[in-house]
Amino acid sequence: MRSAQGTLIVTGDENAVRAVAAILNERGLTPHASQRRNLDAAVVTSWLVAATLLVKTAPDVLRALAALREIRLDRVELDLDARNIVIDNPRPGQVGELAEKLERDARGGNA
Amino acid sequence: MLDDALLQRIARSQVGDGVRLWRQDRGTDSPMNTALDLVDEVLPRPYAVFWVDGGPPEMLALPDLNPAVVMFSVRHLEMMAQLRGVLTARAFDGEHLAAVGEQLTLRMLAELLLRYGDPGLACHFLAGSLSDALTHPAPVTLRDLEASPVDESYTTVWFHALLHELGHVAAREHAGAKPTDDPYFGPLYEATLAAYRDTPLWQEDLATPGALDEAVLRAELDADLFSLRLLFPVTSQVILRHGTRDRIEVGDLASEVLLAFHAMQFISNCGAAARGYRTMLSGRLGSVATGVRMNVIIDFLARYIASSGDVANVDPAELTRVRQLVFAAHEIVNQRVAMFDGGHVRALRRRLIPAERRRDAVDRLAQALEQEIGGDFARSEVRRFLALGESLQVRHRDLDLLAELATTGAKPTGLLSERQRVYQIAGLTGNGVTVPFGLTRRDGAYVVFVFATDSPILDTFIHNLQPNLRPGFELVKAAVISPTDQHAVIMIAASLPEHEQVRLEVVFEGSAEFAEQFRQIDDGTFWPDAAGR
Repeated sequence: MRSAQGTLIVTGDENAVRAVAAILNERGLTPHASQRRNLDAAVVTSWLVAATLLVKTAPDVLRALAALREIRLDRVELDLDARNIVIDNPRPGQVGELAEKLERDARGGNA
Repeated sequence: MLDDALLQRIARSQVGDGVRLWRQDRGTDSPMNTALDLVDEVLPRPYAVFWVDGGPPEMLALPDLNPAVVMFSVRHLEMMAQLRGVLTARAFDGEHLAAVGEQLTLRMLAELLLRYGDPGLACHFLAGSLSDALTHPAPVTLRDLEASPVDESYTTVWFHALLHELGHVAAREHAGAKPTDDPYFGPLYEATLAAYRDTPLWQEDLATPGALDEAVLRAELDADLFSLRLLFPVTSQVILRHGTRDRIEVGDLASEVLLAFHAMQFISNCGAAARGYRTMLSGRLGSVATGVRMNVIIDFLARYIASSGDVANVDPAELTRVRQLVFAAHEIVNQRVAMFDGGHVRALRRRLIPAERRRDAVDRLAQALEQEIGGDFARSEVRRFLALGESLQVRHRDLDLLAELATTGAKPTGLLSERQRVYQIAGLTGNGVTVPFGLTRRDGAYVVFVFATDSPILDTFIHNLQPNLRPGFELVKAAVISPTDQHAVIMIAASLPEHEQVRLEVVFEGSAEFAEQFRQIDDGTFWPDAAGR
């Protein structure tokens, strides 16, 4: 049986996106990164990195994101099992809390 | 290569769940596909065009993905057409055209501010856009555009911005390059800069750090030229396949390009201002970067027309003759653009300087809604704006107020007088005067906190900050009575010294921004070095 898949999209500045891409690479995932360019001469507004991942690996990836120091993410968007979770300007600890929640959910305890 | 599911997910993440989004179907015989078929011949990388309907006027690209993604905004297309219509309509002239420029700029800012997270200011500008102008230029819809004659205006309005965006995809190999490194751009760039050196603009524009980033300018020039090189064959093919003629009028197309360049600049300025770039105050149409781009465009148009498309082999005498003609066309366009720009800049300043915003914008909208002539128009435009808020999934009490004003069976002015809210702020009292109290944040912004009526946090806020004040000063509770958040912002701004008005940021209890500022105060990241005042 095919394992359930989801998508992760992280937005931030170039450094943040490079750091997240490295985390995804380390886990054998394929990151797709790009600048986000608006139609004006005001340059690149932000960067994003996206990857397809197995639902069961999402907590591990999120924990690695939560451990990033001196890196500020603008948005973390996770689409798992048709559940779309978005965290804008995540405060410290918030991504780690999401990882724990997903792990609890996977174990069957939705509390 | 991205799989379809992830590609769709990424595109969706850029625009939100509420707007209509679909990938361009390349299998149909349409003007868009005729244009893209020609792009395919010169763009070496795969790309996907997504339509976005129900969002603000904003085109964007993710050029590094495989396929690269370009988001084609229906609203951007509509605004391009409306701006072109206004800039060419003789019914608008002089200060009247400036007033329309102000009105349309406020409208674009309103829509973009909804997207960029300031719905209170968005509602205020929407009200201003519907109540300030003498005349409301008719809005243009996608249906109008699909039904319009296929000519040089049609192809420029539809494809100039799209081709420019695809030009950014094509120009990735030049990333970081400078115009001065290029044998074509270099001399033009230097000549244009030399012409600016003795003007006041030189001091104003170049005094702003980053106002003339050479790598950014080169990227824009690359995209401009990609768009221009393709627009001639695209126009030719689209008119041939979908129009009623077998040849194009190159002079008409050149004039349309000059108009479209300015229309794109007006929309782009609004996008940058909505995102809070303060350099927009000096980034007027006369700026050096825009001047360089305009000169390159004029030069290219002249070369292309003089050589019938073979720009490497141009007869110098013919080039001189055609260049004069293009300059003459530019002068005509420029006169209209300069009139429009007067109002455009006034509106941009209102975005950046709260004290310059009208206090009575919402009152005047309520009055406009009561008018026999114009009331229905204002009502339908408010509804259209509310629909944008719905598709962007924005909730805000000022949007609710607009909805009430537009749908009430009673008189909107009467309703408005019943909807006054009481906001609370901390006031700094000393030397016989009371001014709104704020905190200077790490980035230099002066942040004033607005609390809800009977907020328990305000007492704690005052209690904690009181000991930091100089002797003779005291913090007190002060009330601001206002129908909207933005009206309260203007009243606060007007009570502050000028140097604090320009760096003012007002945050309202209950908003994510308010919570974020308090979090930063708690963890210490708010403050510059030591505690603010």
